[in-house]
Amino acid sequence: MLEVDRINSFYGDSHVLFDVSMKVRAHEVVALLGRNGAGKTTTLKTIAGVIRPRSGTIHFAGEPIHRLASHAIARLGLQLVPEERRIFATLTAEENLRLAALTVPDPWPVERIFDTFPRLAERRRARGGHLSGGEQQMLAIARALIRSPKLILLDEPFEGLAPVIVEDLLSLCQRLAEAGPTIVIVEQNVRAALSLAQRVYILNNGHNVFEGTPRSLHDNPEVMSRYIGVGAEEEAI
Amino acid sequence: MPSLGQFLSQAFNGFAFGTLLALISSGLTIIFGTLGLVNFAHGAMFMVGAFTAFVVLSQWHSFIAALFLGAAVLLVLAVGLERGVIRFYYNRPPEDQLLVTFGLSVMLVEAVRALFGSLSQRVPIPQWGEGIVNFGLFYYPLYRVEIIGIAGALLLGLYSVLYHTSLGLVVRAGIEDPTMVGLLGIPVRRMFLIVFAVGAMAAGVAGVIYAPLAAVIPDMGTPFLVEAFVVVVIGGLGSFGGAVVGGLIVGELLSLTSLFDPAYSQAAIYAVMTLILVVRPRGLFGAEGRA
Ligand SMILES: Nc1ncnc2c1ncn2[C@@H]1O[C@H](COP(=O)(O)OP(=O)(O)O)[C@@H](O)[C@H]1O
Ligand SMILES: [Mg+2]
Repeated sequence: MLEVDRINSFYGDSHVLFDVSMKVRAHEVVALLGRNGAGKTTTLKTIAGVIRPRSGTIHFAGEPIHRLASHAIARLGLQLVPEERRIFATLTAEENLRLAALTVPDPWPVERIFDTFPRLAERRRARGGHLSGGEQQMLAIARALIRSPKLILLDEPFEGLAPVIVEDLLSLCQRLAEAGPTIVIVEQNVRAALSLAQRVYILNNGHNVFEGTPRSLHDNPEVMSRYIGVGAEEEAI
Repeated sequence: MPSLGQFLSQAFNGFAFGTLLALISSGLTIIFGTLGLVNFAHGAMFMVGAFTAFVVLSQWHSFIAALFLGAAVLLVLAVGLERGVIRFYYNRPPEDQLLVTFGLSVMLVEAVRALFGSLSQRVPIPQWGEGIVNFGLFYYPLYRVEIIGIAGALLLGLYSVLYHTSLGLVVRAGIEDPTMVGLLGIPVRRMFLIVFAVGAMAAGVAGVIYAPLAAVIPDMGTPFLVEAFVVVVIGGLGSFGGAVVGGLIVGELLSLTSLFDPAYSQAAIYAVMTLILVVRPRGLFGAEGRA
């Protein structure tokens, strides 16, 4: 479904990704882990076309996408839910959803989104800027779902949210994953990410350093403490 | 002291001029808000609109034709400029944008000067705008009353497009975060072209409407450019409502202060702008966080 082959990405002159590769099969949930600054967000942004890789290739559903603009990539059914959520603050929750649905031939009906996220239904006329952090995150995910994408890239969906809300969103993601779309998830909350994922990639300083199943990661506490951190290790066990 | 009649008459002038300024400024503000572009060619586009009115009205005497042709000329001009030059400057520092749009403005002004000369052209008031209305306390030229209606209707049209269509939804979202708009599958570049063209057309159509009241000369856009920038700063960068309210404020300020001493009217708008910036740095309706 997604094949990233030795991409190199830069911010201006600073080289951030070094020959990063990764493969994601259809209907799979893959976790992308690593310390702060490891290059996870940059990898997702490069896949989604926000940043163009200076070398390397990215194929999605068999098509090369590394030279396409982000809107063309989104139209192929690849949807990034960015780290900063990027909800339109001056648009209402419902307008955020309608905007997202504009360029898809078969979007989810808005009512189906509201059935999935009852909290958003209550807040449909509230401006994006007036939503709580948890509501904004739900809206960010809902805005991806309404486009019925084939592949969703989730960048730290649980960041900065209260534990209760994380549990809610986590079970939602679990249901989502079972329903079919392929998911790549980046998370600091390693326990949450590993409970969803079938396979794991770890990045360090912009390099691939680990690839395997959550099980093999558990069996490899050295990789865990070296590339993710002791806190994360305890959380994961 | 001016009489009540004089005062009301000037207040009316301010209102008419304010709606016109609102129309020009709304174009400037959506271009800035969506594209982040400081467009110093906006005044020249207003001027091109006025000259289109001059040509059309002296040939065919049809104001409606002048309005449509004014919009059409600006559409063509805007598409050409955006594709040819402007689009390469969206991500450049403001001083680059300022220089290039100022350069374009000089070229437009000189091109018009080469075609029509520097002398002031008279554009006749349309027949249905001739005459004077008696408001009891004061008499008032009919055309200026009609300007309020025409500019008001155009602003309402622009408002409907911005707030009640998909294009408007995209533009409002684009003002906030063009990258995210792209991530939702919407071709941002094409949207930028549309926004630039709509903004330029607002200036051009304002030029058509204003032409019968003004000395139509190649340099006529400059004061409007300056005043429109004041309006946009007062109203808040990127805010349509801010452009309308700011336009009316500046229109009234210019009119009412000139009742006492025209020399102070420019000073007055800068004083009010400074005051508003001190109390509310993002302008009356500006979005939080947008510089
Ligand atoms: N906009 C940017 N400009 C310059 N450097 C950046 C930018 N964004 C991130 N970086 C740098 O790129 C590296 C990778 O960042 P990022 O991909 O955000 O890491 P992660 O998501 O894994 O925390 C870091 O060293 C970071 O400082
Ligand atoms: Mg990140």
